[in-house]
Amino acid sequence: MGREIEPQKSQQQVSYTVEQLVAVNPYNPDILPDLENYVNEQVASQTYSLDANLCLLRLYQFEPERLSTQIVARILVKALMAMPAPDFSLCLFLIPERVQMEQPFKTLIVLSHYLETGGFRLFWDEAAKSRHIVDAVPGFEQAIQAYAVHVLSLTYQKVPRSVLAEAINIEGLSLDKFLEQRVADRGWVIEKGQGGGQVIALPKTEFNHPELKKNSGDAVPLDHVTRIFPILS
Amino acid sequence: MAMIIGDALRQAFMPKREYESLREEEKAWSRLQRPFLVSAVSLICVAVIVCAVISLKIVSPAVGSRRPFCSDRRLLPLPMKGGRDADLFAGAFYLTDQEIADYYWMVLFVPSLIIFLVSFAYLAAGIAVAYSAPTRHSCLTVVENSYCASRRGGVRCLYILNIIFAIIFGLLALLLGSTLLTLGSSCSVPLFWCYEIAAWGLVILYGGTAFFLRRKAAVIIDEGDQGSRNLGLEMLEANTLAVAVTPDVERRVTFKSWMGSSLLSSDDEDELDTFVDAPYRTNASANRQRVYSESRAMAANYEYDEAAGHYDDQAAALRQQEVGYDPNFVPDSVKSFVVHLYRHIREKNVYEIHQMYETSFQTLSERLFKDTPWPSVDAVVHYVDNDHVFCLLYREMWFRHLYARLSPTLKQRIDSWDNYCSLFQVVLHGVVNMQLPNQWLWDMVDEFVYQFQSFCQYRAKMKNKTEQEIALLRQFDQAWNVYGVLNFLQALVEKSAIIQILEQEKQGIEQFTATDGYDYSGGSNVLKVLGYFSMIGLLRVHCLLGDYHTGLKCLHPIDISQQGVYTSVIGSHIATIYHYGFASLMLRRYVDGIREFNKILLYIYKTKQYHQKSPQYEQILKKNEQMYALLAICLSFCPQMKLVDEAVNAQLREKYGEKMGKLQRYDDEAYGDKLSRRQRYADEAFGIYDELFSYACPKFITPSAPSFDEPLVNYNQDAYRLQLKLFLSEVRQQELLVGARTFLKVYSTISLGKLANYLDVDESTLRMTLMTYKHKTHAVDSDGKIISNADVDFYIDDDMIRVVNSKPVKRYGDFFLRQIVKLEGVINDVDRIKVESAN
Repeated sequence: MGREIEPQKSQQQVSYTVEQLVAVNPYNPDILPDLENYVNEQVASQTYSLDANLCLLRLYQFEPERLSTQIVARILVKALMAMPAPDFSLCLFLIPERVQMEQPFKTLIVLSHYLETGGFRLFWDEAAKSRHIVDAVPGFEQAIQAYAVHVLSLTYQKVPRSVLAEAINIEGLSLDKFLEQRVADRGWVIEKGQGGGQVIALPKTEFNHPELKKNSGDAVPLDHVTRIFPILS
Repeated sequence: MAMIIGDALRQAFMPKREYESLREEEKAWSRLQRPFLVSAVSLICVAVIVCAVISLKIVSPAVGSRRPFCSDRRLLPLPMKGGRDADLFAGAFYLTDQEIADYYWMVLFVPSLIIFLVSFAYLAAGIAVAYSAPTRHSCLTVVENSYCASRRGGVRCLYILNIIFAIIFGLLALLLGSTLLTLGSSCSVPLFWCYEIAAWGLVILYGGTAFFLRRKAAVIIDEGDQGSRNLGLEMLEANTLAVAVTPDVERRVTFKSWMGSSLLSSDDEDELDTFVDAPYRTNASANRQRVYSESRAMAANYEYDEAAGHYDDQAAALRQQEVGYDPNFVPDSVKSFVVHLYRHIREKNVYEIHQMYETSFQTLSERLFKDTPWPSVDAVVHYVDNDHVFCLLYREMWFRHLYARLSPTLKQRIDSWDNYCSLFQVVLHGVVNMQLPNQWLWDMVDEFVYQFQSFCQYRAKMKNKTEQEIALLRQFDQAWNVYGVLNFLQALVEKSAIIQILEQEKQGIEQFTATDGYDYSGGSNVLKVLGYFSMIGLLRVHCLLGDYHTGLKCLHPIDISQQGVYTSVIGSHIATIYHYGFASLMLRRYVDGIREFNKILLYIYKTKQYHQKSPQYEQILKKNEQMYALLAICLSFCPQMKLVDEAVNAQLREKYGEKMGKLQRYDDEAYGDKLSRRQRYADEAFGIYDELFSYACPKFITPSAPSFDEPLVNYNQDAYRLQLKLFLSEVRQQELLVGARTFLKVYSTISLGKLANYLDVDESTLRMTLMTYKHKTHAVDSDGKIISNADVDFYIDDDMIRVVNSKPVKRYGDFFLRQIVKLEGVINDVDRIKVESAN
């Protein structure tokens, strides 16, 4: 009575890229190995595809016995690197609770919690303890630093050097180098703070300079005005 | 005959319970009914005719003879009366017999006759229709073109007409008849009696016809062009319905009908599944049966059509032997339902199909199949030329009815899956040449997802499964398999090319939304619209699985900021926005969620009364409540009241005002020290969030099959627990934001140290909190653009916090616009009053 409806397309799909596979045929258990390989490829080539990874987690969800802890851990690390996007929690929604209770997921969840709540010092401390998890994925530190800078520039017009150092976990000479580079290509400005320490003025955005924001609150939409047209005429 | 009457007498004195247990054929009263009614009608007819003839005799007596019944007795008192008035109106009351005869003829008889002649057709048709119910009598054609028939259907129209004429004759009898008595003449008394008897006889005839038409209305399938849907019908059905719905039925109906899936994620459904227990079930139905019978006895309405009789019979049998359902018995009304539905589908009469689907099906279910399934498809197949596709559609409805009213067994669940497979495959591969109403197509997708979800819940409760059930589950492991479900929905989306159609529609090449998805050039709308609704189905399945990102991606082709085909069916409209809003909430896109919830809640608020009669009303209300809870959550995370309409806000305050107050009140009551206060706040907030979320979330599922070898445990709550836990961890992360928000709203500049002191945290925690605030309120979209959902704008300058004009901009523009319109209305009113007084 037609219960075998899984499309048997895998033969003709040889030429497809994984991205296309996910787009064309997302609900096919046969693409699971391809997706697993693709995760490793993302790690190696420092690329990222949330859709493909969610698709893989979904297949794991449908067939928990095929779940590979290592692959899931890599997906989660990649998702952490995608901060500030909520990818990490999107992935967690799909991972069974009992799996989340195991290592290394417990650590990853703690790391994510620190990042979500801006606890960068706690994060770096914890990350240092679990080098084996995060070092497996190249580009991890840079990605987190980028996120830290993102949050800082949402919050601060001028950020004390110590706060910045704590957030991006760079100190001393390497921080000077880092700042030098940012001053050159991102328009950061190093100033003297009131307390004598260095203060870094971050580039203006509408979020740390709210006056830049367009004031749309006072506008009256046209369709509201149309209501009084008959009266005006 | 004598024997039957004897039976009737005996049964009249029987205890009620015993009487109910009789088989329908044994009930003598119902057998006596028809001859009794026929003789009563003929008696009245004869009386009317005799009276008319006598009065004619009085009016124009045969030459030479006296007027019959005219005595001179009344002459005695008259002189006295006349004597009193003689001075003023001499002769006013002294009418000759000829004068009163003329008066009777011109004022009473001829007008009454004209009215009778005008209405006779309706009376005759009414009697014929009522007598031949439930088969449709050709006499219905007399009202075919009349105004009321087009609005309420032929039978109801006849009913109304008969009522009207009954009232008219009643008034005639009262008013005109009494004038006869005031005229003093020897013939006025006999004429009065003739007239009264004839008129009241007609009142009884018309009234009786109307009465029986009203009772038959629902079982006669109407063909007339019914304009405004089920109004008339609902109105008439209300009585029977009100008494017959027991709490039991109500519970089940509200539970499972429209979108029962997304109810409380608690163990509510457990109850339903254990409902299969035979003794309990028969008991319940017996109870219901009793209530039903009693209500019928109270109304003393034993006259009923055969089909309902069968129902009684059936339920009685069910009580006796615990299996009473004969799947092969097809009541006449079902026969005619099936035949007409089939014909309308073949003729592509969408309008009629919709009427039958929405109204007749519900009515018949309510009347005949309250707690039994409809007749099996094999029993009706020969009425519809063994049409394969129609049988699939019939079975689809059959299973839907079963799911809504009874507890499906595992075998039935599997059969239903098979039926959906066949149906969708016909749609996907075959060339279907039908036009079906959007409502039906939506219900198909909706029910498909619901049954999937229900199956997952059922399967996850492994503890009480019998060996047999487990064997079946193993054998049919493909039934309601999550891959199958998703692939069917996906295949419908792809095969229908709906995404391309919507794309082309934007460029103006194609029409879809403008025609509500219907094809007016003779094609079929089924695949296209099924594909369209499947996108919503996919959104829903993904939400059930906890895959919110993918869910929203599936919905992407539909632009929910505008009207679309999804808004043409209230169920799909609500399902779309509910799941969209829920997914937005979980993705932290609170503003999106608030905006859409606000829109739909306002829509429901304004249009609620139009759905009161709808079978989905309960579900609409349920979803309405759930969406208010979700809105309360969104607003607590992101307090942007300016996005919420006043009406919605008022409702929200009423329902969740107190809870939301608690969530936003951080530092209010000064009990104990600050730390314990914070703890108390956190605990209370946690409780409230937990409660709101559990009430409003969809019924999450675990899609994987159980492992049959391990010890059997229930895992139906796993998915829900996981989502709740992750949601609460989000709450935990945002816990401190409430306090920070409170202070930021009142200061324009504050140093970090001071604020940290107020909040009783150290400075680095405060920096963290403020960064968390910024992070949580600023989403990054797929293009890397930052979207702010913040309610307070601030920045930190070294160690000073500067808050920028956090006061919400008041919408004066909107206010003035509203006042202008209001004033204009008042001025218009005043103008009108002036004009009237001048006149």
